[in-house]
Amino acid sequence: MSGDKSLLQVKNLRVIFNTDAGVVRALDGVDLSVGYKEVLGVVGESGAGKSALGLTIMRLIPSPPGRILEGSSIIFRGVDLLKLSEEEMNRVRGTGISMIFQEPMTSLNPVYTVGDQIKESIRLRIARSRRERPRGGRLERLDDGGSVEDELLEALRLVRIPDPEKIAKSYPHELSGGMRQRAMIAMMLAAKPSLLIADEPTTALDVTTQAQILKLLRDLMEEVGASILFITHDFGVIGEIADRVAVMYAGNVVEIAGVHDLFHKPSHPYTIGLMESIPHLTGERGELPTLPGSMPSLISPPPGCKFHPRCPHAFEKCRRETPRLVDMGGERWVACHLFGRR
Amino acid sequence: MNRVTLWRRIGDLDLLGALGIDVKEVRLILRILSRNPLSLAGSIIILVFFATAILIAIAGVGVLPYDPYAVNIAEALQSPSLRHLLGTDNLGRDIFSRIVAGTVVDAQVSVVVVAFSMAVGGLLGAISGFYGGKVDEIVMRVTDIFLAFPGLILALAIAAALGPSLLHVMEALLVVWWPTYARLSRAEALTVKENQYIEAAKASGLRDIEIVFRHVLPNILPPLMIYATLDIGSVILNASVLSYIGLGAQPPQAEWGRMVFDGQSYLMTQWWLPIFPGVAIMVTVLGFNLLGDGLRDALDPRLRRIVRG
Repeated sequence: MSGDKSLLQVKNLRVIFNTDAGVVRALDGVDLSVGYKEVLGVVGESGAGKSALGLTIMRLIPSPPGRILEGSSIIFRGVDLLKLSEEEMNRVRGTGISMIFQEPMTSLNPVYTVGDQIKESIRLRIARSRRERPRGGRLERLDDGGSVEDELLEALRLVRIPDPEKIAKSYPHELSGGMRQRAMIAMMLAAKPSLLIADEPTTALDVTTQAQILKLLRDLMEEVGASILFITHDFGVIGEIADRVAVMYAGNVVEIAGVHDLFHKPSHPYTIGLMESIPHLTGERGELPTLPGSMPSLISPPPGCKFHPRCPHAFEKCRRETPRLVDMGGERWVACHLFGRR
Repeated sequence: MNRVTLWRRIGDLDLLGALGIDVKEVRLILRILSRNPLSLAGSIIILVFFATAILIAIAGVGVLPYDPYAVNIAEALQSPSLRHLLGTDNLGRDIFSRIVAGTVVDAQVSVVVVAFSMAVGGLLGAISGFYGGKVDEIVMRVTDIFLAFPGLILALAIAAALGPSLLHVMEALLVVWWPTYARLSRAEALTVKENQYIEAAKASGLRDIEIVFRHVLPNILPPLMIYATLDIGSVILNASVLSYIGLGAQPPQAEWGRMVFDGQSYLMTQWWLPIFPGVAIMVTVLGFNLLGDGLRDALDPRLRRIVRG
């Protein structure tokens, strides 16, 4: 992986959930990194551990039942987040790493105006930089002499909201889904994080709005200089926004590659299977190839490579040994015995 | 109809939007309420009760036809007439004036008890529901202990131990009253905390206690407020019972329960002494119950269809 130059480095991240049915290995040794000013897309089926990954990085995994196992590390700007106290972690949340969610309908508090919620985020940031907690409405002036009000309007303009004065005074229920998601992005960016975790932020939106939001996020990344960890199950979305892609399967990253390389020459049998099952606009019409079977239970996953029961190329070693991510050169990493140490 | 337009106006206020309430929904509820004669009557009774209490509290007893505390033996035990609308008691005090003056006492006791219960129970319940785990377990077991005693008996025991006074009645009722609010608030907090804005607030780095105050409490306030408003009737009833037993208001204070107690020996001869204050209690409590029933029907979509059709 990109080594020392990365903003976020996740190493051997293992998270389990204790449930009545047994121990669920939600993340089973995840390795990935996000560089500065980079969009890393994370794709996978439902239950592959994508959302658990996002929440774990924020340290928002409900515990119990969730638990991050020993030996995991999440290095953010050189600091291991898993070693921070809750109070120190709180200071990373928002201003260091921020998160936007799937449901724009419920991710804004219905009792406050959009403007109030964004201002809360701005005040929190100022308070942090002054090493104090926000109190009431006293923090109206910024260090550079601007007002919170100005910055609010600036934040709304940044996310291309028309008529920001009016929208700032609106309640969430008065806005459309796309507008709410913009407001949400404005709120999270107002804290000026260096990493934004976006957990399927466009899934609940229609295709046109989705395209607008994706373009917006892409542009904002350039303007604000933040990196994005973009979680989705949609390869189309990944193609629009990501620089590099991590493919997840049953709690593991099975392949990481630049977005172009991944689409044009996928290496891992799972990625190849996924690519083949995407319908194309051109070419022959016929039955779409599918991956046989379904993702294994995370309570009792198959031994060795978790993909081997569905893999067309599986051989003896796959049933015994779990493959590690191997550097294939050219920024590509694959966890598959087919490519191991040749 | 004028009243209907008034309801409409109330429904138009942006305040409701601010509380996250669907304005259309509120308007529909108000329309159903105003169409139901019983809940309309209930709301009128409640409005009159509070308007009177506020008027007397501000203007003093001087606006009444007679001083409710002036003893006038010459006019003792007069039956209801135009001169004394509801008659006079054994000390010649005008019963109508005393009943009207009594609204202040009951309004005060009920609002204070409900407000404090809502503050204490609401906060504890919100914390309990939001944090869950051990905190929840402790708070809920404590409320269980309080709810295990029959409310009135426990209040009676506390009030008796503290000694007779209106303040002690309030304290006793508060002890009995808050657990219900804690329960209600906890149940609401459990639903509120599943919302993504709570997760978003955590992701912004707000501390848990800040989330409780800024995001959870404002969202559980509306249902709590509705319950509290309707709950005032039962506080009045219980406060009157304690005063009737002699633990609350002390003579010569004009309080309805106390007036029933003082007048009950005259029931067979001068019935107006105990009956009118009793009717005042009944009508007021009935008013709250009627509005409560109407509101329940209006809020229940299944019953709503019947009302509409």
